[in-house]
Amino acid sequence: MQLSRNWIRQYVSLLEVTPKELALALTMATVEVEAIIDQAKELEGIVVGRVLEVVKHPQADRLWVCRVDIKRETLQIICGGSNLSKGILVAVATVGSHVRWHGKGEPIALEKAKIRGIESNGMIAAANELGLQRLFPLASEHEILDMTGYKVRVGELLAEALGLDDVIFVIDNKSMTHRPDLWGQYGLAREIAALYDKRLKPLKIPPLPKPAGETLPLEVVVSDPSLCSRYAAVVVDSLAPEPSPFWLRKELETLGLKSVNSVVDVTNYVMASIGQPLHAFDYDHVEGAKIVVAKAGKKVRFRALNAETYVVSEETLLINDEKRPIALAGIIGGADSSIGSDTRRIVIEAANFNAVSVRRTTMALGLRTDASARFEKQLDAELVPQALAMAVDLLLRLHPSARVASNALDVVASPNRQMTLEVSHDFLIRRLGFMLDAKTVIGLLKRLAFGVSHNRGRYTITVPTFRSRDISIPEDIVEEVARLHRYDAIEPRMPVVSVPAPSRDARSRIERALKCMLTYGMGYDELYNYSFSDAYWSERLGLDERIAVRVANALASEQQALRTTLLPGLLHRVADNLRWRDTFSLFEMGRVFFAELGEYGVGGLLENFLPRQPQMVAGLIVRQNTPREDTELFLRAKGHLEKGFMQFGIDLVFEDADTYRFSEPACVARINKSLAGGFGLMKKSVISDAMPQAAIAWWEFDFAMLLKYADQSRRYVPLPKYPSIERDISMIVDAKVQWGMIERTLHGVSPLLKRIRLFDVFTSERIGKDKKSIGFRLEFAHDDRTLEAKEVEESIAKLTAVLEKAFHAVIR
Amino acid sequence: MDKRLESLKKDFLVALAKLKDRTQLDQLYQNYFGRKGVLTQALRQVKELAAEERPRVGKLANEIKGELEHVVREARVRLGGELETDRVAFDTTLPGTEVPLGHLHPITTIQYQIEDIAREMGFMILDGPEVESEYYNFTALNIPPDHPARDMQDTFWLTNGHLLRTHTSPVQVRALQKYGAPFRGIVPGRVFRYEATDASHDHTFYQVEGLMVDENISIANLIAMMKALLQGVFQTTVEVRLRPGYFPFVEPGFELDIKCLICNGDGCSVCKRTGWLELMPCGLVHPAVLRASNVDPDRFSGFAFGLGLTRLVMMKYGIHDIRLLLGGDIRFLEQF
Repeated sequence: MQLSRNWIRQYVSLLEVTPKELALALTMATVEVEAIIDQAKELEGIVVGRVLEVVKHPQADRLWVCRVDIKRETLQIICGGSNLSKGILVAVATVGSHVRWHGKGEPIALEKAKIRGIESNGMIAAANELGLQRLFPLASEHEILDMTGYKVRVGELLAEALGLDDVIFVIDNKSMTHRPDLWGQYGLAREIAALYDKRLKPLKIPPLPKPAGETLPLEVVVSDPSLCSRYAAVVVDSLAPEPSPFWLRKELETLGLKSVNSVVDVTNYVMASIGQPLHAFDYDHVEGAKIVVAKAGKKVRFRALNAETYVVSEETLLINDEKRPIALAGIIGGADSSIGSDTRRIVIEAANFNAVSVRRTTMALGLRTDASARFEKQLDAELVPQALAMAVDLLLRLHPSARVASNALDVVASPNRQMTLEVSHDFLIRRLGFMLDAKTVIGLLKRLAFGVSHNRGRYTITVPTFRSRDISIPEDIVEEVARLHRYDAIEPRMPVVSVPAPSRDARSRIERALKCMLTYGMGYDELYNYSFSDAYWSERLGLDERIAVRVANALASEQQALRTTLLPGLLHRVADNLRWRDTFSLFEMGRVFFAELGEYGVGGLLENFLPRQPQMVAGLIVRQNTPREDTELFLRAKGHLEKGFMQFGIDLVFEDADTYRFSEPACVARINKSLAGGFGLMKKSVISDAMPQAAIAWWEFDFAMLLKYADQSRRYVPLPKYPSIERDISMIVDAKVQWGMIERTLHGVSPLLKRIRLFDVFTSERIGKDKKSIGFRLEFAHDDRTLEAKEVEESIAKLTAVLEKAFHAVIR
Repeated sequence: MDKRLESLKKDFLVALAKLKDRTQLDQLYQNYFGRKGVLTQALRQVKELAAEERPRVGKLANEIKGELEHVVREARVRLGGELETDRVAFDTTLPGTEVPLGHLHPITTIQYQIEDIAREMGFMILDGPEVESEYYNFTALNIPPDHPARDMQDTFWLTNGHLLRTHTSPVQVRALQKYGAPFRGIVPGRVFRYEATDASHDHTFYQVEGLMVDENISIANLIAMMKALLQGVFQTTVEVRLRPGYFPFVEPGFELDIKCLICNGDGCSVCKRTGWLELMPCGLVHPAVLRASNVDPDRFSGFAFGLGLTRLVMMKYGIHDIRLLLGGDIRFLEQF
């Protein structure tokens, strides 16, 4: 949205306010001003000149050496303009002025130059080089701006000559989503008058003239008052659309709109001025001279004036003539009834449409227009007759032959309701957090055109119709008072509240302890990946995509589904990082998503649940170009899981598993029989295409399991009072015998055995094929007394007997 | 035995006093303390004494040994030269032993800093689902279907009708439903916007939502609390200003700016010459949101804010390309 200072000045006196101050005032109290464009400044150093002489450049086919009179001197300028001729008036960019090279990019300062050996002191500019291409459309690429015929004098600054002396404020549309009243210049003028406590001059719109001469028929029927609260229309006869005069083109340009023809330009100018969109139909293409505002009722094909054909749903609000739709209400007109060069009679429409209805149609069609952007914010219906009168007045002025040819129809289908609010002074002060007397409050609200009466600490506030969209509850009044009083005048004040009991948000504390242990204790780098699944690695890992949550409007092919495990994303990053490092460990903590339902409710009236989205933690340990050390990697991953959980007081139980198709070997980790996670080695066949030299161990677990079982009630175990005795056993068993079995078997054989620690496993030719040697240390102790050597020897004898029996162990 | 020890001590001290150089000292030391030295032998004999004598004499012997070792150390210093064990040429400029330390992600680090500050101010730390329902993401936050504000947040929709949350604000309602008022909490978390990626935009980024609900929470309170929080975050005095901002779930709604910390408000390229940096949207919680959260808006009021965590991380570390944050390049991650 663009705000024109010249426009505003017609209604508010702002003599002493600089553009910078005005921008700041708006930003601080109303809407965000993103930029200030000073038209005159942009055209600094651009003057009107007359071409005295045009001679072909001796060294170039398409260049001319010109002598140009700019009154204070005559300049020699090299120019390639295709429409140069002696005597024409041109825009001369003098040395030091700023132009956009070939109409593109940022303006750059012009310097004296030699072009193919001949000096050039400036430039004869094309419209796009001055940023004026919308005002002076280019007929061909090499055309310079020919100003012959305009009321300009040689030597005059171009900005002054054309009246391009406005200051334009570019406003962030998002910051006025809730303020339909600000979508026109007059609304902004009203707001600025309130900010500066100035008088706002009323809009001067002559009343609609009565029809002159023959009266043409026109009928308006509004069949759905809830979607169209007001519809006004009038026929104007004997006018032909033509190029708009320069002043109108200039105004539209300043307000950021494109000139089309004198009829369309009038509707756009009125919209930009007071915020009410209008539409002009070719009267001769409105069948039966009848306008019916109604829902489509069935699916309908509609060809719009932008040459597109749309299929609209039965709920779409249409403007129809006797036979067919002629406009999508509030959005765009039809091709058949649009204003063309042969149009001689028009119907002008000003109407108020329901915001939701307009918005649904724009969303369904993906079609947004200047009109729909305003209607979907719910405009003030009072604008309807004003807009119609203003448009007719302008049309009659632009087309001297034109006449009003019908009675003005103004169908008020559902009347505007005046809203009043009751707000207590006490409420206002409590929300503001500072004192303000009633007189000040009333003064501030009156500046904003609210009607206010005050009685025993209560305000009765009448909301002006143009604010009925955004002012509906007492909190809105808090905002109005506070912003007009100025936010930056509010003294910060700490709240006075009771001290809450400390929170029990164990989750964030345990998360932090875990992450710090993984990084500072175990050497992992933490990374964050996107929540989408990784197509390549999901395929390599053989993941079941059917359990994934799918994205309906993915931006890219890699965003089709959400991740169900963190491993593919991590593997992707490993492949990238192997370029820089051979040895590293990465972990990530993040949510993964499954189509099945989880714990979070969807809210509202529905007793349903969102997809399950557990927070997972996963890590990879990576080695590249090192001798094979699979066992070491595998045991490292196991150690990290085992010791990590132990730190939180949890004993994991591991089991061999074949659920992970990408991993060999692989184990699941359980807590109290529930699955917590898994770990293993990535199969070479899975990773070797992408990472031929790498060996990777992985682990992944559900953070909720850690959280659930984390033991906060740890107690200390008294230190042993009596010394323990250690004995080492070395034995040969069948290679298939698992250590876990041996360990479990040993436990429980002797009450004196306190600890078993494996220190060696090896195989060799000497021991024999399919055999392995295992060395471990046993620690014996008694809680109440010092052990005697004899007792230990007895225990050992028992233990070895068990080993020999159970595993055919050969004790060495 | 006592006498023997005393005389050994005396002889040693006399001999020590006569020494001229380090070599002589080393020789004397060897004669007394070496494996076959006289003092060493005397000490061995202590073990052979009768049991009742042993503790007393042993103690004396050790005292003498300690005393003589002490004077030897002094003599060594006096006579100069190096200790036996010190005679290794040592390059102190060698790099320290490599410690395999990992690195927390910078977003995590800054998030923890903010969590600590918030905790000090009595806020609890919460989280919420990333796949969110339309109800919590929009409707409960006073953004009903067909509201134009839905355009302000381009949304990733899922085929099951749900969406990837566009902000952490849905947790306002979830938290109040669960804990009730009064309430103080922050929610750091991942959010998603359906938009193309470039150096300053990513479709995935992080926010910290904040919510305080109590009796009589005012605009003046909001400013004071935000200022205190930001002073904690930036570890310096910050000046803040409020200006209007439109967000349907707050009323009034604000954009909170801080005076540019680079130029101190004079205007620089970072603050686009305005002297102020837009930092976070905030406002008083809309009564419709409180009602959706089962909190009585006549009794309670509150404020909410949304701090752009990703942007803060980029500001704090001078990161110019947002894509590095979720890019997983180890050379980037190792810097934090």
